[in-house]
Amino acid sequence: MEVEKWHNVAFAWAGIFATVSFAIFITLATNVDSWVFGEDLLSTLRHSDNVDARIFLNLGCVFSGLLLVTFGTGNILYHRNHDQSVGGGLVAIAGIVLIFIGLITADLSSEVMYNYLEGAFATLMLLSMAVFAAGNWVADHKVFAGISMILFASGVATVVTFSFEMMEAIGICIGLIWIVIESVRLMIEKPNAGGKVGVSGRVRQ
Amino acid sequence: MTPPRSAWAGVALGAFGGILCIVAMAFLFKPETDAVPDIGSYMLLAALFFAIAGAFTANNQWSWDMLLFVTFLTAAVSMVLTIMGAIDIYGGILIFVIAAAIVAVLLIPSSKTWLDRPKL
Repeated sequence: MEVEKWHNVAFAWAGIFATVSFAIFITLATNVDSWVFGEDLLSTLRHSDNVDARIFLNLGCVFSGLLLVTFGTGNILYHRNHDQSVGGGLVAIAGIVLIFIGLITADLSSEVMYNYLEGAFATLMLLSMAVFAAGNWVADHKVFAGISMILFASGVATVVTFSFEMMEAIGICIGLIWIVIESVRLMIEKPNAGGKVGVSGRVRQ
Repeated sequence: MTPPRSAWAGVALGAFGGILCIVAMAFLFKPETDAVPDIGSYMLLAALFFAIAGAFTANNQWSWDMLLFVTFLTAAVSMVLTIMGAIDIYGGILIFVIAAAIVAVLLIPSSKTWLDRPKL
């Protein structure tokens, strides 16, 4: 899908706001509850006695999920190759899954369903990292592709090495860093006036 | 064509990373323990760093694109091995910083001109 006027910077800000809102809400939720990094699962906050912790967790997931869908849509609209649009689609689906994670409260679903959604979200994010690494490499954003490659490898190593609790905590940190970096990449994409975009933003004739 | 200073910096950083990995491998050799995976990890990193150092020299084997890819691969391998505990965390961070410095050297325009020059 091609569009004439580019609003890529606005969509890139959605990605940055998604990470900031998620970080703020999760920090608030973990601070009002006695949650320990790497020792407790985030899903334990769903059963917290403190109602604020539960609300912050769910709000964080829903807000960030909505913004992640916006960011993924931006990548579908403003792409240089199909890899980037497929990666954007995967991020948008991951955002929808995150919204469901926020909407499904403890009294609505079982732990199995919740863990399934969490696993789906992590898998989609890892897949989109790999796809974006390939797409950015072809699109001459080689440094961004390299960073995506390193973060993807780190994510896989985290899944293999650590316990589930530590894996979840470190995986979230890796995901947040990656979304910020991809947002910066989307931000520096230059407008496409019908033709292909040059490396330094000049439109090829 | 005379090699630019950035190429010498790339050779120096690559060789330093390789030597550092070989030294770490030698220090960590303990035959009584299962040190083989640890030693193999450092050996892999040393091979990658020496390959990077060689790619900056006059008879280089790779284009700029390929060298950048291998440098990112080295950084990713060092990160993975550090996370998995196969190499020391401070050593892993140092190796990652050296790989990042090589990426910075590669982003200097003269490095790209040197590596993508017409070859025989």
